[in-house]
This record gives sequence, C-alpha cells and structure tokens, in this order.
Amino acid sequence: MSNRLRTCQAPAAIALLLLGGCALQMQPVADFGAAADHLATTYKPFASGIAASCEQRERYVALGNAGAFDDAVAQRAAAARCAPLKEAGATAALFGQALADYAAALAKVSGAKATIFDGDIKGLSGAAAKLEAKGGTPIFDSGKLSAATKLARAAAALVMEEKLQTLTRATLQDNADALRIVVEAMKTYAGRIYAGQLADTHEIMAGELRRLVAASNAPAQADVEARLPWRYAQATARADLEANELEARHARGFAAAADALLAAHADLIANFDKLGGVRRLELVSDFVNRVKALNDDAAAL
Amino acid sequence: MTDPTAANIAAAALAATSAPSEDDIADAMAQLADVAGHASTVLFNYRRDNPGAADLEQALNLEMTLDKRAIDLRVQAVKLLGAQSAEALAQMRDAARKVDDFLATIKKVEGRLAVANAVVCLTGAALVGDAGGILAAVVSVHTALKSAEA
Repeated sequence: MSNRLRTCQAPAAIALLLLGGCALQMQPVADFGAAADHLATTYKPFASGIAASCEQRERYVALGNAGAFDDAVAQRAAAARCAPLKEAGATAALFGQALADYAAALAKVSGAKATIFDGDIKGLSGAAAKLEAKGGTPIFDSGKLSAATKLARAAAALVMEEKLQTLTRATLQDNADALRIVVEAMKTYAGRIYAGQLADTHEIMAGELRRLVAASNAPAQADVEARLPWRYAQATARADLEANELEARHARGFAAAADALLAAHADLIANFDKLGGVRRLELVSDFVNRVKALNDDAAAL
Repeated sequence: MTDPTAANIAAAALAATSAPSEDDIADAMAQLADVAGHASTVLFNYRRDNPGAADLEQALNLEMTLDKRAIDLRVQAVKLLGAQSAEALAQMRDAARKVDDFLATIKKVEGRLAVANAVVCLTGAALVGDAGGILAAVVSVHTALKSAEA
C-alpha cells in the first residue's frame, strides 16, 4: 500500500469515528422522538374511547329501564346520544396527531444521517464494477475505491450532520412552549374528560353487577335454574368493568408519562451541547421507560 | 331521617356544582360534567333500587337531563381545549413541515452528490494506482456538496 493511500485512509477513519460519535450524540433525540411517538400511539384510543364508553353506559342504563327492550334499538339510541362525543373525540385526536408529527420529525432529523447516502454508495459501487472489467483488464483498484468512498461518505455526512444538529436544536427550542400546551391539553383530556366518562360508566356498571349478584342468589336448589341467566351475565359485566378499570388506569398513567415527556424535552434542550459518547440523558431514559411501561399495560387490554 | 327523593338528589347535585373559573375553564367544565354524570347515576340507582317510589318519572326525567348535560359539558370541554391549543397545534405542525422541507433539500443534495460520485469513479479509473488522484476526487465530492448547500 502506498504512503499516499495510507494518508487517504487515515482521515477517512477519523471522519468515520466522528460520524459515529455524532450518531451517538443524536441518540437521545432519536429515543425521545420514538418514545413520544409511542406516547401518541398510546393516547390514540382515548380519542375514540370516550364515545365508546358513553355508549356502553347508555346501554347499561337501557338494560335497567322499564318497558320493552331490544338490544339493537338500545345500541342505536346509545350511539345517537353519544354522537357529539364522537366529534369531540376527533378534536381530541388532533393533539395526539400533533405530538406524533413532532415526534416523527425529531426521529427523522436525528436518524436521517444513517441512510442518506446509501443510494449514492450503491451507485458508485456499480459504476466501479463496470470500469473494473473494461477490456478484460483490471483498471481500478477496489481497495482504493473503498477508501475514497468511505471518506467521501464521511465528509459529506459530517457537513450534513452539522446542519441536522442545528435544525434539531432549533426545533427543540422553538417548540417547547407549543409542546407544553398540546401535552397539557392531552393530559386534561385523558385525565379529566375521558377519565370522567370512564368513571361515570364504571359507576353504572358496578351498580348493575351488584344487582346481578343479588339476583343470582338461589335460596334453594330448585331456584338455581331460574337464576342461571343472572349468574352467566355476571361474567360479561365483570369483564366490562375490568376493561374499564384498565383503561382508567391507563388514562391516569398517561399524565405521569406526559410530565416525563416535557421534562425530557427540557432536558434535551438544556444538555444539547453537552451530549456525547454513549451517555444517555437520565430524563429521556426515564421518559422512554415510562412510555414502555404504559404500552406494556396497554397491551394487556 | 327520611329517604331522599329524586328532587333532593338533583338539588344536592346542583348545589355541588360551581361556576367555572376563568383560569381553567376546560378543567372546570370537565368537573361539572363529572358532577352531572354522577348525579345521573345516583338517580338511576334510585330508580333501580326503589321501583315503587312515587317520583320515578320525575327521577327519570332529571336523570336523562343530567346525562345529556354531562355529554354536552364534556364536548364543550374538548372544544375549549382545542380552541386554547389551536395556535400551539399549528406551530407544531409547522415544525414538522419545516423538518420535512429540510429533509427534502437533503435529497436534492444527494442528487448532486451522485454527480460527484461519478467524478470519483472516472478519476479513479483514470488514475489507476494513484492514491493521490482518489484523494483529489474526494475533495471534489466535498466541494460539490458545499456548492449544493449554497
């Protein structure tokens, strides 16, 4: 290997190391973006859930009303009564969408460097292969091409890296207030409005389950047969209650994760210039873990 | 102590409600909705547990009114949240768009880089065995990128 080629490869290696360092530096941003996107995904069912919970409550109420009962009619009436909440849910979904868009933007801007230049490298390799076989004589040293490719990639990526970091920092700083307002709105929706609807529904269902249990009592063996419908119905009511309780826990847990998101966002801004190596920001890690726990709980639904 | 009537229950529910403060109207609306919803449930339970009560019809009417009021208040609370956050929502969408626009410019840079890559190939082919030529081609890539950024 010539001295000049060694000279060429040394800066290539340094550049690649630097590039690798930058990728790690942006890792907390990428993690934040991914976790924020998961949080938005966790929030998504809340938007449609409010009308669904309202309808469930209305159906249970209809079960306890005097007069004729047709389940299909009760379902339609419940849907009509809760229709305004369906529209409200669509409004509430906008908050989650805004967070998801922002999260996706941060994930994109932090992770873009990893794949940006792949297409060019592939094109370069193809061109080199054609040149190599020209006239049956090897006219190109693939080792040198590889070194040049690495250096070109690293040099170009470093320039882009600088721009990406500037954009990421500016994006974080410029949107801190907007993020806080949107996340607070999500918290109010999840923790107050949606949770309130869930509590109303829970209260009705708990009362009905209590009555089902009371109605299931058979003083004598001869009474059991007549009580079987109430006894079987308990399982459905209990399952509905448990799903409601899990969703309520989920909605309440959202607030803690949302607070962690805001703290992690502030942490990213405060420490953006100090990030380095494999160090992960504590608050970002905490946020990521909270979202993971929330999603694990959601998976149990 | 006499058993509460439907009117007693409704009156107690209304007394428990308070006018929303200006500081956090959406939150107060949600609180009001909770009170209305809870009162509706109490009336429902009253009907279910007192099938012989004289004021069942009144209880049902009040219950339905409070139930509807709870839905309306929750809808109103969400609308208020949306109105309060409209500007922030717009800003966050704008931020996402800016990033997309920026990444689109990177794709344009990529196109120019492809030209520079061709230069690397040609120069490399012309200068077989000359590492300095390859280095020169790398410099040209960097130059091409700089000009693409300008």
